[in-house]
Amino acid sequence: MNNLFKRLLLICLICFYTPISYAELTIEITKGIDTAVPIAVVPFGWRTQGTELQPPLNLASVIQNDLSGSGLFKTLPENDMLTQPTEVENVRYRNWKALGQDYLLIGMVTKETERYKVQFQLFDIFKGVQLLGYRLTVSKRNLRRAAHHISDVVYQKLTGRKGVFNTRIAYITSGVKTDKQKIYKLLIADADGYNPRTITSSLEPLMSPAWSVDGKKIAYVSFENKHSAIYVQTLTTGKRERVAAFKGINGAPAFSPDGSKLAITLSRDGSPDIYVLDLNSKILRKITRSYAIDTEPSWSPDGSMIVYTSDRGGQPQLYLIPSVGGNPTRLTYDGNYNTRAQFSADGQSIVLVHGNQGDYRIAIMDMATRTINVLTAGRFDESPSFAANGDMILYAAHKYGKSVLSSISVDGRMERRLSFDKGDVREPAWSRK
Amino acid sequence: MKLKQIVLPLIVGSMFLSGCTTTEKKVDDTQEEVVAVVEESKDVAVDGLDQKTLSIRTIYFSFDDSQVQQDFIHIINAHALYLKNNSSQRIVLEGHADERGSREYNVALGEQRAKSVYRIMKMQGVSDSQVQIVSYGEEKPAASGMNESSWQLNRRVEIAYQVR
Amino acid sequence: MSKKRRAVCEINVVPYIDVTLVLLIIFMITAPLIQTGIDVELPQADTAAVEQKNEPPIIVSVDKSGQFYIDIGETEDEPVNAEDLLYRVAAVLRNKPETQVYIRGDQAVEYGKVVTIMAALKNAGVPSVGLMTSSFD
Repeated sequence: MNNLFKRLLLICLICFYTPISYAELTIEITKGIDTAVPIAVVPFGWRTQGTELQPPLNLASVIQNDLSGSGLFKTLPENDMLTQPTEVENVRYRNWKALGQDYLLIGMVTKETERYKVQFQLFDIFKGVQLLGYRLTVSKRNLRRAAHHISDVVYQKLTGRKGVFNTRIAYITSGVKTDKQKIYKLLIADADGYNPRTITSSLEPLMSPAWSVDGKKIAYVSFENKHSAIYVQTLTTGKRERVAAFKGINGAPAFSPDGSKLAITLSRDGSPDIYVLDLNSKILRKITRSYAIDTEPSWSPDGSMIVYTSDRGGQPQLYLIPSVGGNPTRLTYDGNYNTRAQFSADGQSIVLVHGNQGDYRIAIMDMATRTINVLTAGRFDESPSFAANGDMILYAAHKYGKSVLSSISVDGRMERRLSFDKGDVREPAWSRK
Repeated sequence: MKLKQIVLPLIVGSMFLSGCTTTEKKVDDTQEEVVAVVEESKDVAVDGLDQKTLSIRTIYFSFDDSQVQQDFIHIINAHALYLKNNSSQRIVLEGHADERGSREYNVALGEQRAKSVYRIMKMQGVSDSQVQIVSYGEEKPAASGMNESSWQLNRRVEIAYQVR
Repeated sequence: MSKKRRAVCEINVVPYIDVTLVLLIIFMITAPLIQTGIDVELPQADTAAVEQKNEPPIIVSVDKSGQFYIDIGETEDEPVNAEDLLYRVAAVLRNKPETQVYIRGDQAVEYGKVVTIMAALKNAGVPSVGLMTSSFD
């Protein structure tokens, strides 16, 4: 009898055990290219005076995930490696050629008191030459960053484009707590979804995270006082400042490229308008003056212009206005719903949400030709955000009845999905640094 | 005698059926909302007004539209009248939107909906100090489905009476 | 001038020449077209052939004492057991299924030993197992 009771208790415990913490993201490539370059990343060697059998982090697996996650590379499974060299002397090109590999990356981690020395070398299998070799010294905490850095270096060497593996993403999650109350969280994670950290959490909605260009601050909207307010939080110190809590809407923050100003949406004078707030002097300047909805500002990389959403023409469309105020010019005419624009880092294109016959998709607009190219095929795609190198766009999509993150290359040929095992993940913002 | 035996269960049965339909309707409007209405009506005294109309505290809207539909105007007017007679009563008009489209635009849309409701109340003589407006956009949906039947429940303004 | 009409009894070759010329012109025009049609196909065949030649086969050696060696892996001059050998070949085949494997057996080695390894390689999925011989010159 006692035994039965214990068993019941155990079952109840298992049933009601709902961990609040979120699992790490899983990444799956949903659309890849056939021409992915084969590369072998050999598990790094390990030297220590101590007794640890392995380095604290498997750098090779982080690099493998980075490179294969980019869709441009196909990594060799470790099981298939005929040998696992960690130094140049042991590299036999013949083996890698037989396995059909184009490139080989090997490395070695050496523990020196409290620091870790990481050295790595990249080889071209066909030519049989070393392409690059570097050595870096990091603390234990930064080993993962070092791995991403190696991925960046390899990516740049082999593709000629800057890597974005060492950047971070910010996103909002909402989940149900045990007492049926919703909990909203703002998190940041590495670009590969690992190492998620909660920046702030609230029982009221959190919205619209935006990075400063230097990657040191995040602005967001919080309804924690049952009313919207804009906060700026410094990531290193965790210190946060409420920068706007006017009557009406306080929303859509966007840092200026130099980080000194914040473009925001306020409706304190009636209809929602774009304002520019100087973060030092706290001087507020009204940029748009219409009786319609003006919101979702994004700065051009030189800081001279702001693109925003306005329904002054009856439907929400994108407009461009000088960041000191002036006459707006309409950018979009294609379709009856074009919103939430964001400039690319080079200013040559903007990414936006394009609504067409009830479907909302991510589109890219060439600023020179003003033509719109729809990239995604979802029905409820939203919140697009450019990668720093302009190669990929991160956005939120609906899949399996919940909101997940997805990223797509600007040519639409590669797509991958990042999903948590539970809860909604939305409003991704990709840091520029 | 025999007739009674047949008719009675029929009447009881039909009562059951009608009971079912009303509960179903409540479920549609999400349970949370219903709970809130029941709690608040204890605090708000009704001065000879149509209590049934006052118990309706959600105004629904069309897609990407902030115009109040004709059917809801008498409900807003009833609330306005109540507020006029109880000048110390305060309310919050919570604007909401459905999930489609971009989030900040939906916050703006939610605010416009709340303001449309507020304008009608103001015409009835409700004072500025009694009404507060907040828009949650699509952040607090009443129904979570990704279909029109959920969306039409989410495009709404909720009249929330503040407890004195 | 004779007024007497006479039957023409020689063949008029003019239409014949006409037709021949037209045919000639048609052939002259189509001939280069047919040639380019072939040209497009040729390089494809060529590159495929070159690629195959460029892929070095895996060489499995069996020495006098019947020990196996393979030219991929850590080193070629140390004997490997059959299990390890097959594992390496399988790894290569997973990544490059078209790889050819040659067996280089010492003439003193038992015939059965070679056949066993050949059969094992075939079972492992090697598309073609070749035997290497040396010529007498």
